[in-house]
Amino acid sequence: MDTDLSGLRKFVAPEFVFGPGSSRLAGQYADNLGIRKVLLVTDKHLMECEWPSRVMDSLAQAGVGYTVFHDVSPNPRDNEVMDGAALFRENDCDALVAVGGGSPMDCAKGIGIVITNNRHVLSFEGADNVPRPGPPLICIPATSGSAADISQFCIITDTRRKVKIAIVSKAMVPDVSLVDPVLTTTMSKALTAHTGLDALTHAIEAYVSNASSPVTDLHALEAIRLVRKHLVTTIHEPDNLDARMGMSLASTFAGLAFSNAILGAVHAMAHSLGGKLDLPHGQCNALLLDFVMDYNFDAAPEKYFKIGKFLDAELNDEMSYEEKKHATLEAVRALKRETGVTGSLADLGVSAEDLKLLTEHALKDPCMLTNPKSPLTADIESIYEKAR
Amino acid sequence: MKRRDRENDSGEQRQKLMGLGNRSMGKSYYPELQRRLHELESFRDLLNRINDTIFIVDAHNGLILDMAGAAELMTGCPSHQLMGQAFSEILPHHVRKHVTNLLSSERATLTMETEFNCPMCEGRVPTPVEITIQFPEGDEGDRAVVVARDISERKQAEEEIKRYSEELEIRVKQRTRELDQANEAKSEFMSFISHELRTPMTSVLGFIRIMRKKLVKSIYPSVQTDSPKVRRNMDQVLQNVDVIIAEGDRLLQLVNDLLDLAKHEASKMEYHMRISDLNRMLDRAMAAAAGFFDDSEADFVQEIPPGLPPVTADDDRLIQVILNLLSNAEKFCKEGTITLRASVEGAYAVICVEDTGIGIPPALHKAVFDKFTQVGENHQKIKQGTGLGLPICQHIVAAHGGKIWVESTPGAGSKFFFTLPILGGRTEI
Repeated sequence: MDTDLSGLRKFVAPEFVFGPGSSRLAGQYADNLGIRKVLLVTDKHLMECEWPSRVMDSLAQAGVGYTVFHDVSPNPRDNEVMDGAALFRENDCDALVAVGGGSPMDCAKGIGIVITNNRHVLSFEGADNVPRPGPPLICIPATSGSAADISQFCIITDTRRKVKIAIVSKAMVPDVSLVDPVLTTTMSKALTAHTGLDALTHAIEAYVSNASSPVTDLHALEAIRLVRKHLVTTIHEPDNLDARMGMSLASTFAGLAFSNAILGAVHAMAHSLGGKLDLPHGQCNALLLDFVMDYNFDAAPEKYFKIGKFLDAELNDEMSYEEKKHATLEAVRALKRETGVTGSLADLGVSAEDLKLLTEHALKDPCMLTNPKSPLTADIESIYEKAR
Repeated sequence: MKRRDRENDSGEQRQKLMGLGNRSMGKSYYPELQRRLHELESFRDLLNRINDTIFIVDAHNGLILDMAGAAELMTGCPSHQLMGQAFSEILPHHVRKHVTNLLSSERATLTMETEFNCPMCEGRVPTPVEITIQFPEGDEGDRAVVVARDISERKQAEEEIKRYSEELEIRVKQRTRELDQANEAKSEFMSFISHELRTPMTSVLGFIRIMRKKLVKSIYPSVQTDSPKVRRNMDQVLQNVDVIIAEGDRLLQLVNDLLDLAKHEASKMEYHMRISDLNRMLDRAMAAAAGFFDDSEADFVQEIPPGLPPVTADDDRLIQVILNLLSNAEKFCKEGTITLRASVEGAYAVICVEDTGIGIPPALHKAVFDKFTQVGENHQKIKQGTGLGLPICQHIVAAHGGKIWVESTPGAGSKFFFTLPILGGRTEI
């Protein structure tokens, strides 16, 4: 690139409808977009809930046809995307509706660009590498964490290389997102915790990102505050709609922040773990978060202190840097403990032999580019070792 | 990669991540729509280059909603003027009233031939077209797709073929008339021969026979002279008279045969077909042929089994054939054996006349049945026939549904066969 644009900041957000019952607008939006038949992408687990069928009813009422595709794994795979695209073509669909967590939504994003560009999904790997946007995409999140309904990210597992590839493009931003907190009430305690900490990680990484901006900071900090306020409640009171709304909002804010400020080492390392060992993304993030913060801390101490404050850490001006850092990290660890996300990478089956390759992949992940510090191989390996 | 390059590369990647890449824009379908629109326009342009015309017609009110192709060439009217007009307007008056029915047809596809013309133009020659009306199913309401093809060339070709066949018919009629005339002329000629040759010849022969009789019975006995010269002259006169009689007979035979053949060829020969007993017919033929062998050295043998099946035949004509074959055999076989045979093969009776005479060269096996072909023209001693006997035989046998042919080896003799279908088909013997 000839011109240095690194000082510029951009903010892209999809049209979204927030609030209980917004998912019922699926049919209306599909109709407004001129859609005749959608491929409804969800997952097997979610099919046991009423949410996909509610969306189907809404589509049917608006006279929009649909074909359901639910062969999507927790970390969506390249072959699943290609299968979905084939089903899309076979059934003459003209748009996508994703109902679920990050996996179905990312899968739907992948299907969309495969359809319009007629290429394999892995060929879009990287940033700004999507020539044509996919067909209209309506996202209806059933978790409050991934913010795939807001972000320009799409993470797909390359099953042959065993790595997660990131497709980052403004063309991956959905046309409409219907953020309906009611859908998150059926999440299990563990899923609520993992996705909630994922949202927290999004917010923290976006806030300390070297591409952050006042606009993204605003969203990031508010997301952190909301997670601290509502996450534990949602775990203990799954049907507490106020808390669920708080977490949905937190996830949305975090999404707006990280989609534009991008992420950091936690995500780079979590993607590497997820690709190699097929581990739950939110949990990986949560296990790595405080260790990465520890490593990054001196690159943005003031920002980290602010994060600490938003996480209810007792910080004052009389405290030394180390004291404040300790209090901040302790606030994160306290939240992890309260949400029941303890344990280590070793508990998830990560062995010492895995670390070299995990580090290699993590360093290549695009999220590493906006980490406040540029880590070396040894740094990353050390963080993995500590988290293990 | 050098560190600096890596840094540059990372910087570029980071900018792209942040949405500052070259193509980074919020999702927009406009470029895609533009591309599709361009595709559609190119396609329409392509459609407008074809020789056919496609009309989209509202099936309810019959108005032209859209068109592509060669509308202007076919109707003589610019497309924009036709748009929104009633489709029926470009059709001939007598077809217009049926358009409503056509457009509300239940059938999936209709094809018909008609003509297109501009409703606004005067004096334009209509374009003959073949139109196919289809009713595609879709959510765009009831629309008929009319595809029209210019069939001027086909029509022209059809006209030409029609004209050619008419011409041909006229020529055939003319030729038939000419042939009829020729036939008539031939008949007249035959009748002329009949009257102008046969009648006088009959008189000549009648009178010469009377003269000979009178010469032999009364004039010569009353001549009393010992002059050898007179006697010699008297003998000479008698011999000359005999030559006149013989040649006269031959001439009369020739005329008769010619007339006969002419009748056969004109299919005017009358046959009196009846169920015939072959054995009796063959007996009659042999009785009639008895005289042939009076002066002959050849032996005449017959191998005719009793109880031959009946045939449908004109006995007199068949006897004529057998006599002809026997007389030919006698002519060419002065010594040796002449055999008349009859047998049954399958659905046919086979009659055969075999001789051990001079035979016929293979080249002439077919030609002997042509008019005026004679074998043994070099054998001056052989009594000349008319050369019409076998062609006449062939006509007669054919009229009976049979075939006639010869098998012969020069120097060893000839076998003339002819077949007759047995009454009632196959009969076992």
